[in-house]
Amino acid sequence: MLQKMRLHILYIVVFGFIFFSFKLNAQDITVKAKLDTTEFLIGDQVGLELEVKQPIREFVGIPIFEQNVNQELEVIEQSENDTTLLETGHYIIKKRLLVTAFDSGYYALPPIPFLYYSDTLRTDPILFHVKTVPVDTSQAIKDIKMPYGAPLSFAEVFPWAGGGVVLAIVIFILVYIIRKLRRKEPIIRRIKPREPAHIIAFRDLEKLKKNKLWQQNKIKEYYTDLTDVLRLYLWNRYSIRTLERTSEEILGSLEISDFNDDEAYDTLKDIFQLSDLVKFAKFKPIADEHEKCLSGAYNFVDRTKLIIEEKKESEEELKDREQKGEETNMLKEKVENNK
Amino acid sequence: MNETVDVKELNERIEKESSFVDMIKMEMGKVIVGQKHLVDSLLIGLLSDGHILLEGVPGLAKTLAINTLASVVDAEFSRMQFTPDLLPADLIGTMIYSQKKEEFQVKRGPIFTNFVLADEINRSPAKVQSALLEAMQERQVTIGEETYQLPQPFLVMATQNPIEQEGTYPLPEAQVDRFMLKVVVDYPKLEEEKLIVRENIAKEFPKANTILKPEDIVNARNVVKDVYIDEKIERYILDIVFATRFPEKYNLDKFSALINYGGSPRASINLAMASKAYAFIKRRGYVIPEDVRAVCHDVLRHRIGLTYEAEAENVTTEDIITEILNTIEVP
Repeated sequence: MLQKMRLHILYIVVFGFIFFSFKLNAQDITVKAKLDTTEFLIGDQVGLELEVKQPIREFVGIPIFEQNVNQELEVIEQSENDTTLLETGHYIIKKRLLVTAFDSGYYALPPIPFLYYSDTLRTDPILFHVKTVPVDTSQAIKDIKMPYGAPLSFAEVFPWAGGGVVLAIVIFILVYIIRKLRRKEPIIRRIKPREPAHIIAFRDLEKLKKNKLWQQNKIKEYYTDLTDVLRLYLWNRYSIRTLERTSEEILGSLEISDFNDDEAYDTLKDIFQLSDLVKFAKFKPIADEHEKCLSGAYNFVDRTKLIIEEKKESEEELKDREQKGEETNMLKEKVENNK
Repeated sequence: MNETVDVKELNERIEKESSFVDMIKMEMGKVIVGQKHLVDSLLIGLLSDGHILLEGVPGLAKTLAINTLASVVDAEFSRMQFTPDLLPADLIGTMIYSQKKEEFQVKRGPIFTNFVLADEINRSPAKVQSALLEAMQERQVTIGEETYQLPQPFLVMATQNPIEQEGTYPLPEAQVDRFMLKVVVDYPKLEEEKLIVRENIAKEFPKANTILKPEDIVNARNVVKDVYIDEKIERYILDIVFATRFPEKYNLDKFSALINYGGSPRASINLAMASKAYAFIKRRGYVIPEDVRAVCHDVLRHRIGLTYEAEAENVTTEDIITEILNTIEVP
């Protein structure tokens, strides 16, 4: 009997302990709901923050709202739960909702229930005021304003712009191909290799010779053309800006360049000096001088032309190669003999 | 080689008539150390009847150069310091009442001389500058109702200080255009300055001898006018001047926004005259492109107006002229 009584007492103590410990924990849990403002315009969007403070090992269910918090407040969006661990061994879990109201008046947000095991914890009710826009009835009624246009973003424009560019390129290529086909020209033109400077100069000198200018008493034109050919040649050959320089400046430029043919330099100097006298001082050289200048120009171009020679093997290199060939053959024979 | 008779004769004549140029240079070289460009410019101005605007800091022998030139030519020389309170009458002269004769008498100003040094011309107001520049252009001065011819040769060398611009009256574009050359005088080289110091601390300062008379200069001017200038050179000169006006026509589009106004027809005339004088100094009877290029900067640098854009980009008239010379095809 006494043992039975002890067992009952134990049950009572255990039950009491469990019951009181639950109570103790429930008291240690707080739930809050807070609106950013309790007074806002109809249609305005305000934040509603739900907060739970709880010991680490407990679990409180935060309510989930689908569309409405209550009859007046509509949910626009809601955040994920944000959990913060406090030094006191508690969690603070926050959830933020963006809500709005479309009916004006004074309303009460009823206590929001949070499930805690079989119990329910509730927040304090919140009174809020949804204001309407003040209307000045003394003023005339105006038209409704058009909605503001949102600025175009790059992402919206890019596909169209990119498409336009691609289309333009395609059209351009098509037009180009059609034109080429109509003119019976190759679609892809091969660029001719640049003619060597001396080839151009020889051709121009030959042309000058054929024109027979000095024979027609066009002496000034003859010397002008002759110096022009040489100037063009110097530009092509040595990249000296000759067309915008005087004879003295051209000769000076040759002196400071890697030009080292004294005889050719003197020939050019004589031609330039005589040409300057003809061009600017009414000089009339004798016929021999004309021929001499032309042959001097040929000579100058010939002496200074750029020659690209193919590398020829010297006798030593040939011998060396033959020797190497013989050695290779001997090695091959040795290998075959060993086999 | 056959030369046409006229060029041969002309060359011989120039050889003979220009022999004094070397003498002048030698005499001036006794006093002026270095500054060859300044001496050449003075001779160009003297031989082509043009005036010179000099720009350079004080102490670069500007006054000494013109003073020496006057002594070499046996000409009269006067120096005028232009100040804000200077009046046109201080320059050209005025009418003074003589109580003894009971009439107004003309008192001629210091401008009645062969060589005038107008020192710091931009320090005096526009009315004085205008009086001087009018005299430069007309070679005559009117005092009261009488007009007086200025002596020949008449050469004005005006100086401008490129620094200390406060309280100055910059010469208007139209006035600056009347100067044939604008010469920028630079510091002497180290070796030259050593000689200058030595000369100045010696007991006696060198002195130039008189070797010419003013009439010789007047005669030489006529010979300079005879120097042959070919049509090709004329075309080259016009191309250069037109490139300052219409740069885009000469593949110099980049200068269109930088040039406010280009050289005037006076620029073309002066470029041709200065080229002839330069050929004469080089003792040649005909002009070659080198002559044009040698005087081009001095003739054009004060005749090209720059825009604010050019100033903002630190582009100078020197840069523009150099680029033009490097672009225009030489005949």
